[in-house]
Amino acid sequence: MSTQLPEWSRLVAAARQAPADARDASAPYGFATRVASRALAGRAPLMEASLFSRYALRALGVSCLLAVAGAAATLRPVLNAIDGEAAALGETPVEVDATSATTLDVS
Amino acid sequence: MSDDPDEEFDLGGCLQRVRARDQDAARRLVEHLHPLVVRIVRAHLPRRVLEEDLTQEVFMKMFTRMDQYQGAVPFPHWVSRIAVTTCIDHLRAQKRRPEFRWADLSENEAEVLDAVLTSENAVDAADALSARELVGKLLDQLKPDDRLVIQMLDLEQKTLVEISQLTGWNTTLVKVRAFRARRKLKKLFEQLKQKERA
Repeated sequence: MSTQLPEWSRLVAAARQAPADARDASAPYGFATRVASRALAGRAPLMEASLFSRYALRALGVSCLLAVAGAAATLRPVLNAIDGEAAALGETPVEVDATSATTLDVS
Repeated sequence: MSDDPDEEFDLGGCLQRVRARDQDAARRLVEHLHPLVVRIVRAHLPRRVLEEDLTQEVFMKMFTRMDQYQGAVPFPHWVSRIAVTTCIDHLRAQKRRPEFRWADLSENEAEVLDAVLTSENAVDAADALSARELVGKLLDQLKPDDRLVIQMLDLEQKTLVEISQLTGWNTTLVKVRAFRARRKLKKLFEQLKQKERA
């Protein structure tokens, strides 16, 4: 024990003389049965749950990949279709008029 | 029939039966280990946590991790470690520590503290219970890990190796935590002396 802390040393030395905890340390009635049944009953559902979550996570990953691949595959045709429709109307798809934008900002 | 229940209890056989999901063996294992676990829980019980709830949590962890038990240490030591780490987790979860104030001490505790601060004589053995209460309140001021180490070292008089085995921390870390705890206690005693003078 630290000699630099004489107050603590004296206090702890006194505390150690306190009688040992006399409370009953045996398991309360029904405690062991309850814990044992919960522990053993809890194992199977836990495994099923982890199995489900494992497959659910895999399914989520696969579905994300499919979504990205689908978007990548259809993006170009969709953009081409928009360009085509815009060309048919005689307009560029996006046109920004710098002067009108400035005017709008001022007003 | 023997008086000592440990002589009759076949721990190895019981563990085998628990692994085979024998509920009666699991119940007997809990009953056998309950005194060991509850002593650790009582020694390190955080505020506002029920003893029975924490004990149950320790046993649930024991059953959940039973497949990880390799037999490198005796099974009760392995369970003790689970109990200690579970208590530490709960102590860490308590973000706020109560302030230590003279006004919150009982009359006996205040007398003991006064005697410790002003006299170099040993505290009267009759005040041992108050001293223990006071030690608990002072330990509440420390960080959970530091508190655990200083409690085991100074109050329970465990060795560095024993603490290391129970907590899983290496002895250097245990020493560092003990140093930190004592430094904090020193500061606390200095503050208490100043307040007493004031």
